[in-house]
Amino acid sequence: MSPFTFALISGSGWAAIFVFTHLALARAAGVPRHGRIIIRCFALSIAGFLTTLAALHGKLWQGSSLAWLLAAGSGILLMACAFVLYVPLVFVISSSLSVDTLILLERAGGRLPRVALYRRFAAAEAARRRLEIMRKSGLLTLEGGRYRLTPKAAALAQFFAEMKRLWNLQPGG
Amino acid sequence: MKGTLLASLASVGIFAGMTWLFATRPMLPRVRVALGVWATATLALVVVYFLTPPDLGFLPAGLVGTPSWLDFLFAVFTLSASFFGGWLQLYNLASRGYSLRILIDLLCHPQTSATPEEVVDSYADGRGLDWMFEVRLAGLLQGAFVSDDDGEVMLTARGRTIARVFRRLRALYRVGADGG
Repeated sequence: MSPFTFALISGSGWAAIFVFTHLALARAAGVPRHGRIIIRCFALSIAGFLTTLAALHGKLWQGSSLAWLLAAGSGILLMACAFVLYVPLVFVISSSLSVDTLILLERAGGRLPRVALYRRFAAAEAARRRLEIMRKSGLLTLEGGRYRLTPKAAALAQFFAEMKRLWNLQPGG
Repeated sequence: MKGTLLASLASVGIFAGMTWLFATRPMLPRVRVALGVWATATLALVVVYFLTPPDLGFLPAGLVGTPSWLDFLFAVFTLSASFFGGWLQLYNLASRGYSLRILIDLLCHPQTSATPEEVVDSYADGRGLDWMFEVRLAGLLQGAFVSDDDGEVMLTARGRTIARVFRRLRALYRVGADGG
């Protein structure tokens, strides 16, 4: 088998293992949007892929140092693609307001007064819930009833503020 | 490796194209513009892939991905993933990320901090959470997931299907009220 073919097959397998491992850990911990869990699952999958590559070299695939570079690079790139496609899906599942709204409506029998939705999603309690999620993710600290940016969150906010400027986007969110 | 190199170049081209069009054509619908840039870049990738030699004239033999059809498919997949998982997500987060907007507001706040009550009023440069939810609701109405009947918001059949799918996904991941 060519190094490239082997890398893509093996990388696909490890990308699937990454998704299932994250799903299992998320179910166990109940915090699927926990960035640290996702990153650790991904790092372990990369390590697993590289180990597979090394263990099966000479058995299922052959090649020189350049072939190693091709195989490792292609496999890791494939897994990175799986990562960037999977992570937004997890965030939509766990924290999309639009999804929250649809599910709330479904639970209420399919209809709710507009004002009830605003009370649920646009009130101080809704803001507190979101701020708490961000605090648990290490983006905010709570000091004297005020939520304060951590340095990590300040860097993130700065980056996205610059992106909004670069792409000429409205202030909205 | 040829496919990966070309896809990487095309992906950088997508970012440059989106940036240029967003700056020079601000009135056009952004997502449609972005999709147009991605489609153009994919077409360019396909054309350049078939017009160039497998080694691009400089790659060593050990770095040529074989079979070439797999290299080609991988290039298209990589480019699409970089767009749908990368640039388009970056756009979505920058333009309408709820949490990110709160972080940006806090960054602009003199004390870089706020109470939940202040967030309600100061969200998105003072537009407030009412405005934010209005935008979300407008999106759901536009997508025909809900309809508005004299102050009552009602799920459409499409909205009900999506709600069921995500309720099951939330149960699978054990998040929210469905997951415990």
